[in-house]
Amino acid sequence: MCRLQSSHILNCRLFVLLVAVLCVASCTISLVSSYDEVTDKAVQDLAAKTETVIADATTNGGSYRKHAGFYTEAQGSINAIEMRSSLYKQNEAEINTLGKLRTAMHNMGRIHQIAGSLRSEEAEGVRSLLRSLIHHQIAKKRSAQITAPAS
Amino acid sequence: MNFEETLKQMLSAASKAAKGQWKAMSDFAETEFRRLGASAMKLEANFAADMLEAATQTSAKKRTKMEKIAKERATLAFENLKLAAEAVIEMFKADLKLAAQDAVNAAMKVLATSVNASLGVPLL
Repeated sequence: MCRLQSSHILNCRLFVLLVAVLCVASCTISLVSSYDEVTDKAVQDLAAKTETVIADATTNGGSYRKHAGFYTEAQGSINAIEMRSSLYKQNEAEINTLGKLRTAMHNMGRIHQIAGSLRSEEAEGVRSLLRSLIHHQIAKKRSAQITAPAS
Repeated sequence: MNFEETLKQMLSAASKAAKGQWKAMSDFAETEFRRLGASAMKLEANFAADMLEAATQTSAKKRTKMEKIAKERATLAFENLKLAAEAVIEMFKADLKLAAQDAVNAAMKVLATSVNASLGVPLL
């Protein structure tokens, strides 16, 4: 009778252990929002347009007047990317960086406007912020490959 | 299921996943800080040169205007470098979380594969 009881307890413990292992093994943790291809592409597009303007302004002396439309369009693009980023949970770093990019883009436009020209080092803040965003998308993409279920 | 072997594989997968993210983010942060530092030095030199050029103006009105522009463009450009440096740190922290997440998930993936192999059915 006593042997039967202890065997039953052992079976229960093994069952609980098996369930625990299955639960742990079947779950993945998420500390940062997942990779979003649309955001990635939008950041890349904004970076390409920004580089074109910086190249024209720093090497050809392209005026603010010529590129005024770009600065307005860039603010719109940043707002649209931020709107999409805010739909994801645990995405604060990306949203904060987009806010910084908005301020930096406005500052760069102001320099371009008051000085009538733009120096390469004056565009470095905006460039660096775009690189940070692109790098973060690459890190998320790499992470998505690790988190993907084994085929 | 060989628990010791599975544990070894889990640790190896976790370490590999975390190292991949760590190398990428530390290389990126170092390069960015170097670039931002170099730009700050150039901005400083530009500001000094602009102020010097303004000082050579005979017209007081023109001199004041040039000084004002030099100060404003330097202030805005330095503010942008500060924002960029803050973003590098913020992204570094987010990527650290990603590295931790990848390490745990890579280990879980090994465990799931091992459990499936042990049961003989793709349960997980």
